[in-house]
Amino acid sequence: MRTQSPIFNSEESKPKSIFLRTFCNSTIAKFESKIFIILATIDKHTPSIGTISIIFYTIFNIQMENSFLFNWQINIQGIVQGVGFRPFIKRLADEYDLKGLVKNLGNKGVLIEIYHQSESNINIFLNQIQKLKPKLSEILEIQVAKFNHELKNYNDFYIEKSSLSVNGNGFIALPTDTGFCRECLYDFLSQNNRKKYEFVSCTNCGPRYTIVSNLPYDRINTSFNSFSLCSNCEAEYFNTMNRRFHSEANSCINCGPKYDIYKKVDNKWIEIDLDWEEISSLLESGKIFAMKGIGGTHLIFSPFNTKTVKKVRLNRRKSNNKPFAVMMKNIEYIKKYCFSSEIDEQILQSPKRPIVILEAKDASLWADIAPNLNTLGVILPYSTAQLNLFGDKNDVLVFTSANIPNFPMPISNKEIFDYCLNIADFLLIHNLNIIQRVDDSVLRSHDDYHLIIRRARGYVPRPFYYNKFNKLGIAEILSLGAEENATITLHKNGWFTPSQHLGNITTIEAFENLKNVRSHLEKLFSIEPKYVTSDLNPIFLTTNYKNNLALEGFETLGVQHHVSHLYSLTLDHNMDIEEPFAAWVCDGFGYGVDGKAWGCEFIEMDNNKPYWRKLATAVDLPYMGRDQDAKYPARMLLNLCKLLDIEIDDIFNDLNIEKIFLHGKKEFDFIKGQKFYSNYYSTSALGRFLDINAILLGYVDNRSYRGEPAITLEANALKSKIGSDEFYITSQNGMLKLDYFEIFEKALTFSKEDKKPNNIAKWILEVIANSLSKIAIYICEEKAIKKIGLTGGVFYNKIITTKIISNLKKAKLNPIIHKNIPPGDGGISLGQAIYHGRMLYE
Amino acid sequence: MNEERIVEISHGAGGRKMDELISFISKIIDIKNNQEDIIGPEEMDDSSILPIDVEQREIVMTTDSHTVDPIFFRGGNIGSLAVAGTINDLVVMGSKPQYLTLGLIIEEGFKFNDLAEICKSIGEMIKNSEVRIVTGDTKVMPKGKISNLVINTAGVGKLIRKTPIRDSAAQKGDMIIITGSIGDHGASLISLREGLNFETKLASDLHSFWPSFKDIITDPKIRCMKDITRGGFASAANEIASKSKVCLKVNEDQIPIKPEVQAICDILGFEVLEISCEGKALMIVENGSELEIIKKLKKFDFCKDASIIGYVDQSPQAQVHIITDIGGTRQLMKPYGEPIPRVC
Repeated sequence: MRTQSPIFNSEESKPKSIFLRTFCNSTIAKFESKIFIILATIDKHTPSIGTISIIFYTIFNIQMENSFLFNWQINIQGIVQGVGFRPFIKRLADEYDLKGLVKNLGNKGVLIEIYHQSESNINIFLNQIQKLKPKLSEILEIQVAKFNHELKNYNDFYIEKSSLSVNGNGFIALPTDTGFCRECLYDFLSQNNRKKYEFVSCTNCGPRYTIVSNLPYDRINTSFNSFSLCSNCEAEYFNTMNRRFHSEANSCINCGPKYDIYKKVDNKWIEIDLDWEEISSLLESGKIFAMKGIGGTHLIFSPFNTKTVKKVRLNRRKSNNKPFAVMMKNIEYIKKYCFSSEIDEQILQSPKRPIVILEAKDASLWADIAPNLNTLGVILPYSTAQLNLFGDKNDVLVFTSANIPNFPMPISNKEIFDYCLNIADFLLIHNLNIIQRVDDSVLRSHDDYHLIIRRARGYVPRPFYYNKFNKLGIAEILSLGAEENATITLHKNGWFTPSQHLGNITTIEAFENLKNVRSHLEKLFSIEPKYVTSDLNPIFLTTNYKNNLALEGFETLGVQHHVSHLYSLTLDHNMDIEEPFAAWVCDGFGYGVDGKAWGCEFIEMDNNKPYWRKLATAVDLPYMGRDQDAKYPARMLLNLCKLLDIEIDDIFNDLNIEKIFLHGKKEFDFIKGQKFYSNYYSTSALGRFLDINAILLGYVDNRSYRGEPAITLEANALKSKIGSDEFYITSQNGMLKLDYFEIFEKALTFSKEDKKPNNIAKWILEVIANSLSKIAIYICEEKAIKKIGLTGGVFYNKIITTKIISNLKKAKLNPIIHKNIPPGDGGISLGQAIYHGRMLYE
Repeated sequence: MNEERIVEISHGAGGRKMDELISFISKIIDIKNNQEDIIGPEEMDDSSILPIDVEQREIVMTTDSHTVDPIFFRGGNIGSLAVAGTINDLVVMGSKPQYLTLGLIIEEGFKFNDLAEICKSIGEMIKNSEVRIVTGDTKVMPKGKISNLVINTAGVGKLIRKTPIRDSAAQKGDMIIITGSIGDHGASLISLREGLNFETKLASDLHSFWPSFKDIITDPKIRCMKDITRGGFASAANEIASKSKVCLKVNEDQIPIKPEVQAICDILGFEVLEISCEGKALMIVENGSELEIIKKLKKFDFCKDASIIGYVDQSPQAQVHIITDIGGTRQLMKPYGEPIPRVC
């Protein structure tokens, strides 16, 4: 008698189709699954989002006769591979005395076959799966099929070898790389073969996406494949009761990857012997270490050694002011140095372990690390190797990517040796192959909510799901994003997988990385898109790439920058893209459909082509020098003064003209005398207006890194306690506009009255928020729109965002801000993909 | 002072007034000088008749229309520009320039004095460049329908090497040479237009390649040669890269750029590699020949900044890469046509 064969292997034994479908909300932050189980044949019952409870459609149970025994096939999709899901199912099945098997199916999640069970027992089993599932797993869809053909005799429950199935409309989400768990920390501290071991992990934690070259998630498809398990580890690996059962990254001091240590001598790397105590002493003394870790390589050094910090800043930042992140030994030190809310602490300690930008208690302590700012990017150790760095000597270490500016982070050992030679004194390098480079994620805390600045380690490749696209069978799409803080996204069957943060795609090296990530993701998730989307900006490399793909037969589409932002917000909130919705999209620059520089647009989703409509904006600021104006906002300040007939010398006498203009006084004199052409280039961008004010108030000389002027404006405004209810709106050609001119002139008046710059800064941000709120409230009341979104890089600004949220709530409107997708350009590719899908309806 | 004489609409009407204008122009240019072997210029027939090339070399021909604002600039004017532009186009193909045509479209009200100065420059330029104007035309357009003066010149040259110098001949391993600092012409003009008065010494690099390049273009080791004009270095380099199906790898810090040219571009927000030149060539030469060629070039004052700026690679095809000292390699695209911001 056959004991282990597929349930249906001939025509007549095809299942009688009764399906159970379980749908979940695709959002990440909520760990409570929102589940609906419905009869798939009642297709119109597609769930909307809202209820947080399991609803069984009781009709199902009524129709079934519980006394009969059936064979069952359960397909679970979501994050179910590499998280200890199969052993969990095995243990659960054993507990309920179920017979059958469980196995990984390439891109179709996990398949469970259960023999000879009643309806009611299966329901209990499914319920328990939902309730007890492993920590890192996430169930996004369950399909259940029932068969009543011949019964099989099974005397046990098996974990079967994985099979590669890439058929059907399934989608398998791979788990993300997560920081070590509590149990692994314990092993690191006390277990004989894992004491101080740098690669401690288990099925509940450790690297995943960064070490996987293919699916299914088996050791053979990871870079741990080159390390054979020692007898101890092998025993754990095959013990169903062990938390390292089928832990693909399982290893220990005796069999796992190892760190080697190199010292720079005469500009060459010489291998040396050092223990971790010696390393932490060297760090304390100001030495710079480059360390290969999970998904990348970091430079690590003491934040309190000014000379060292300056050296790295000069070498890796061309002396610009961009802040460095710091890693703190544990949460107590973070609380010591920063103001942190309970939510901040939860996120910092979560398995994702991102960098969180918090307000520093004493900014002067971090003047070298985060110049001109009152915030600090902090992170906790996420690999046990990092724990070793601290020892008794260090509480805080600078923790920054070891890449050369605009190059991808080095991940191969050769690159690491080469790239770090001109900066590091020591090198900590290991022999575990990094498959995908993934930066540390960065979040900005607004106290009670967080915004993702950089979505990378711990967050990718977690997909987003839009059920309607699955139902409509929308084609596979590749979207290429914008150019700064770039990501790409792949869409398949309603699943949107955004790549990790890819940095600025302005160099060939960075662009090669984008292409590699594209092919890696396509291979991993079996996606072969024939549709490709990019920004409208004609000079972006991504646009150029899209045009090249068009020659290869791809159907292409360009999506306006701010429209992409708008649509990304709908995906973040799992909204129906046909529901009434409008959003303020505010940033530094996006190429408009009219070729102009947009950046403060109130856009409504529309059910007719082109599926959006601009409802309001801001008045135009001169932007003749384009990118040069962005880099030296003093140029815009000067032109704005000219435009408004404001006495120029009064303002510029107080500023350091030699510093705020690249070419000093001669540039100032020229622009001062330059006439406006009749049709001069201009911008509505709010980001640029913030830049202008940062120069006006003397906070920065120019933009030495992305966002710097606007960030310093906010940093100083946060020191002020004043508030304002004022707003400045004008109407031009029947369109409401935020009135920069009035705000600017009023700010100048305050300045003349010798009001404190910090108060003026705060006032500016408050009135901007009020003006945006007023326009939104006015228009949305007229249009009966309830949901008002805020997206674009400007909304990282805490003062503006918090104030608008409060204004909208007072007006009984529903403010929608980002949760799991960056408001900045990291979210563009997701917005492009969903918009492109919208264009493929019918 | 007498009222200044200006071009009237009737000067283009085909009558005696037109004859007057034409003879005014041709006299100043001295068109009829050294034209004994040609029927046309002397007789003012409908066409000219040129002797056929006795060496049975291929004829090289080009045409170019010129507008420039302002029409007089430091280092030249629209007349010398029109002549040098056409000569240079012929030279970079590997030919000796011989005959030019001259078509003038003049705006009503244009000053005869200005016209005289322009014709003088044309005369000097053709003399120094050893070419002859063999036929011409003038039209007058009503005021406001055209800006000042537009000049069209066509040119005929004789190939003086076995095969012409083509944009499509660059090969992996070849070296990239630029014959002098780039962007001088464009930056000088822009600064004049915009009233940037702090760089008063910067002049256009307007220069004819002939006869200077007589001994250079015959060198078989030269694979490609391009007159850098509109669209600047970016446009010329991309043309070669895409026609030759190669990648040009250029070291940013080896591209000769005058600090004042860079400053003008910074202040006005322009990309210096997209700024036009009027006497600079981009050359692709066989590996190993570059030092010799640079040595020859540097003998000429207008090529004293000639530099080796990079090399040719096989792939990625049709791209120009600018390698920076820090910050990676960026792709230099063909200019879009107007400056587009990219900084978000």
